[in-house]
Amino acid sequence: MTKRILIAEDDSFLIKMYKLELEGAGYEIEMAGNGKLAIDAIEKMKPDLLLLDLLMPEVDGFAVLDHVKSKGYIFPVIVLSNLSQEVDKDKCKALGAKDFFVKSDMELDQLADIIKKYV
Amino acid sequence: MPKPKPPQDSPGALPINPSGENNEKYKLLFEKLDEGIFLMESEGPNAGHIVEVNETAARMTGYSVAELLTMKVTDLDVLENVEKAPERFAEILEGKWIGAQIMHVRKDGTLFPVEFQAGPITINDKRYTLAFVRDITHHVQTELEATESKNFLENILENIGDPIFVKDEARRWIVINDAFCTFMGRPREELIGKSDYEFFPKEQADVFWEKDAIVFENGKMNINEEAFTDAKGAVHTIVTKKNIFADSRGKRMLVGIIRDITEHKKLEESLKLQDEILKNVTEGIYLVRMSDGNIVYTNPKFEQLFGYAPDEMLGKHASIVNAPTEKKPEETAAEIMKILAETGEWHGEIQNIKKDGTTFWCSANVSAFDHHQHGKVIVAAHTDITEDKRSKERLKIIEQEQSTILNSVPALIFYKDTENRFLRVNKTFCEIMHMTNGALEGKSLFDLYPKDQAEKFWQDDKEIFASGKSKMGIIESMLSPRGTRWMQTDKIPYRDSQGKIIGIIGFSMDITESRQLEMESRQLAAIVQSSDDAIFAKSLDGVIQTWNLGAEKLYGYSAQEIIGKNVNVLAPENCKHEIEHILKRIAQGESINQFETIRKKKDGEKINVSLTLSPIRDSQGVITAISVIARDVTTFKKSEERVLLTKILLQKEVQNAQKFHQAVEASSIATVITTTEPRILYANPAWEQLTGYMEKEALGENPRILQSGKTPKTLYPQLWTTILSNTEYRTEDIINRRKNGTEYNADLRIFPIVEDGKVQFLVGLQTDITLRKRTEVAKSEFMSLASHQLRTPLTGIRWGLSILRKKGPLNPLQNEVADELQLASTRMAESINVMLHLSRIEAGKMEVTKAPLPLKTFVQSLCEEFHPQAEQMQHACSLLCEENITLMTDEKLLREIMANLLTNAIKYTPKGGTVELNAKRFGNVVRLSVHDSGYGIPQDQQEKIFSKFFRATNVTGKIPDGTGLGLYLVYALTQLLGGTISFVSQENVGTTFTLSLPIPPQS
Repeated sequence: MTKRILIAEDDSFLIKMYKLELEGAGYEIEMAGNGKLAIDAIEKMKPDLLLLDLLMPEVDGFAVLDHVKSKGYIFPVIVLSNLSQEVDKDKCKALGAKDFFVKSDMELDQLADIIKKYV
Repeated sequence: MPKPKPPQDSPGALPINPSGENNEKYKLLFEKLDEGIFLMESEGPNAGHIVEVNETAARMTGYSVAELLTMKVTDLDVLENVEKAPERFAEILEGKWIGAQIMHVRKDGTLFPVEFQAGPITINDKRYTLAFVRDITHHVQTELEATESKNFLENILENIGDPIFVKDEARRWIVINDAFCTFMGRPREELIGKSDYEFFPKEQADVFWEKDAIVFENGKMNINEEAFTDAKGAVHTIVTKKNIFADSRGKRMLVGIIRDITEHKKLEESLKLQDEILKNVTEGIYLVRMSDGNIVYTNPKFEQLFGYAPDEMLGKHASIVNAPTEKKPEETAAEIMKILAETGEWHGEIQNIKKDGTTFWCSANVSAFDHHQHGKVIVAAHTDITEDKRSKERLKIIEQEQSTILNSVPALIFYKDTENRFLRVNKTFCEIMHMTNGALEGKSLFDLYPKDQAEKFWQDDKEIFASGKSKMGIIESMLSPRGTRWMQTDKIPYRDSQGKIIGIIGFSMDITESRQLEMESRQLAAIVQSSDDAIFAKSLDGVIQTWNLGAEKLYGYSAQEIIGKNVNVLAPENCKHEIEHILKRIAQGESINQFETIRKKKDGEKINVSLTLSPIRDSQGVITAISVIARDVTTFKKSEERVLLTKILLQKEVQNAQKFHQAVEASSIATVITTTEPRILYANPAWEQLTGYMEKEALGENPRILQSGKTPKTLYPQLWTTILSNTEYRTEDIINRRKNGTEYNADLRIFPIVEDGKVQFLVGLQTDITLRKRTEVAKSEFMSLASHQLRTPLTGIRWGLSILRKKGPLNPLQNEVADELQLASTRMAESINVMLHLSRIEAGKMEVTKAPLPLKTFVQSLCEEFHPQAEQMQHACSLLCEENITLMTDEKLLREIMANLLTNAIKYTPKGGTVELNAKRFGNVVRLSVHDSGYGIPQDQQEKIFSKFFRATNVTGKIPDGTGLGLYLVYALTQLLGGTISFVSQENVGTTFTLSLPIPPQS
């Protein structure tokens, strides 16, 4: 069964980059432009993996993590953010995030490996 | 240990219990017997197993009967007896009864002595051992106690010359001295444990016991004169002084001291007899049988006096000598008889009648006594007082004769009138007083003796005059030219012919010698009481008389060499004057307590001593000697000096404290002192200003009044654990609330103050760091936000480049540009990371987590990590770790340092160079040096290399990608790890950076 991946990211250029990077990789990709939309999408599609940005308008990534945790969902959440402080990383870990990557330090072609690791 | 019980048909049955009607009786006896009864198997694998015991056995051992029935008898034995058990059982199997005193072990592990008898018994053809065991704890203890008391008493008795005995309440002699044995004429072993009845006739023993009973009942001293017949049949007169005492365990005993005064008595009696004879020989004497009043004897003088022929008066009635007056002669005689029957004596003048009928006045002395032949008789001595003159002449002769006798007696004999004057004294008296008879006669007590002593003697006399009774055995000291003499005196009232007391006859024995013995034992007793100190006695003029072991130890003189010497020898020259002064004070009855001075030991060493001197008084309160207790206070002195020094230091500290107080008051740091409870004891003005509370309202309060509730909860337990373990605590995470409700961030430092080995007080210093905290937070937030804002477009650039390449192919120019963009964006990402990193370090937020780190493994991992990079530059790369060292450090931070140094070395060395890492130990530090053969750092720029954004001018052109933050980071991290970093560099030759880190002492 095709794995469904939800990507929460507010930067439209980066959304485009995600899509381009992952097209043809055999995943069902759903995009959410902010935390609120991400939560809706989670409820709707029940993804196999969530790639989550932290700083987003309206509802941020921490609230999404909180939602996932409180609902007891077991799909893995990978944080891809440009925040890098230990406090942020610790907070995400505490909320159940499986991994944490700083986007600007990451090459886009690493993405496939990361996803493969969790789905 | 209880063992499994051997199989048994009826547990608890009593195989030795006979059946029948006596069953119950036996059972009762078996249980109530004072001895523990054990029945055990004698043979087979279960030998020693207890098959029957009584309650007494259980009580004795602390086990229950049921428990005992599961045990072997040897379970009660101490180890050494367990080993002997088979031997014992073998003997019993041979049919013997054995017995011994051994130790048994109770259930609770305590030991107790028992006496047992064990022997064979056969029940139903099976052989058993029956043992009777008696707990003799009490017996052993009593015996021990008795031995102790006895030893103590015997020690005392050794020194005393008089016969002494100690009787227990059963009146058995339990202690006697040699003198007593001599007195009894029997060896000690025949006497000990025996009583009076075994040596004296019943009547006599009865008397002794009666007296003993009085002493035991009243608990008072009793002095008695008793007649006693010794083993040879000789009759002695003894004075026995009996007293009651109890030993330390309250056991009552009677101690008796016997003084044989037979000689004294004999002398006294012979004197009386002599006196009687001498008195009577010139008088007419007749004896009258009291039963019928008939004359049974007349002396020639009597017959002559009354004009009868010899023996003519015998058988006649006594009244024939009485002249008829207003009373008939028979009546007069009857009156006298009556008085005699009552008092035994009659003196008076009486009108007598001669055979020829002439009447005359006689002085008569009549007394009654038992006659061996006639029974109760009266003896009357009649003197014709018409011939008074002649009588007086005769009296003079008599007195001369008396004097001769009196003078030959070794005792002091005197006669005093009621005015206290000595009218007659004997030669012995004169000798002891060093005066002639003439000089003494007529002198009063007060002429001869010091007032207080004369008073004492006079007191005795007055008692005798008042009571008319003799006073015997008075023991008093008497000051004579021969020194203080101890006298034992009997005083007898002397009456005139009318029976009126006209003086006192005294008979005094000098007992000074035996008295001295007693005194010595008294001094000895005092010494026995306190033996740790040097104790000695000296006479009033300073001559040392006794000397104990403590004194030998303290002064270095043995008793033998010092006794008899003057105490002067103990005083160093400059202290000799003290001695005379001390002696004077003691002689006046003063005591001197803990007089601290210096004394000299035999070897000349001077010692600080504390002397306590007291007068030794005899039973009459007269000071006869001085006791000295000396204690070495040399060490004590030294400690006293230390105390003084401490006091001085303390005073200085108080002064310092005052200075500190002023300083603290003036300080701008809010300072508070609390107890560990904690309660505020002090707060300075800066504290008042910071918190808004006044010191006076804060005193006694818990500093908790400042808590805002916003400080992390985990902080306080950590704070208390730290300070109560006497470690300073510092935090910047406190958020406090002022009195007015506003809050502030505090930099809090707490110093514990230890007194008496315990944290007693806390000093708290706070500074308001609200502004700094706010700045820090703002900076951190800014950095966080700024980096995020920079990173987001950067991510777009980098990911876009990636997509461009992926969706390519690019032409060579596009490729070149893409490469440059890739490089630049990567450098930018690194720069952002380094800046964030530094801002964290600068904000003090970098946590250092130290853990043991094996250096060799660490170096190997670096080698693996950097080898590819070095290879890319074709560098010869060697990483060496000399020995296996374990560091205590934060691996992550150390890796960052090393990564920076190695990256630099590889990067700033032209291709084909060398890069080396060396880890080597130098004493307490490890040096990690990174050497390269690179471009080096220009001399003029070397001092700047650790500053932020520094890049050496000689490389900026060659290697464009560098933030100038790497070495700054290295420097900052090195400091975080507590290490140091240094370098040596020469342009175009190479550079060596050396990081030095401390090694924990244990590795």
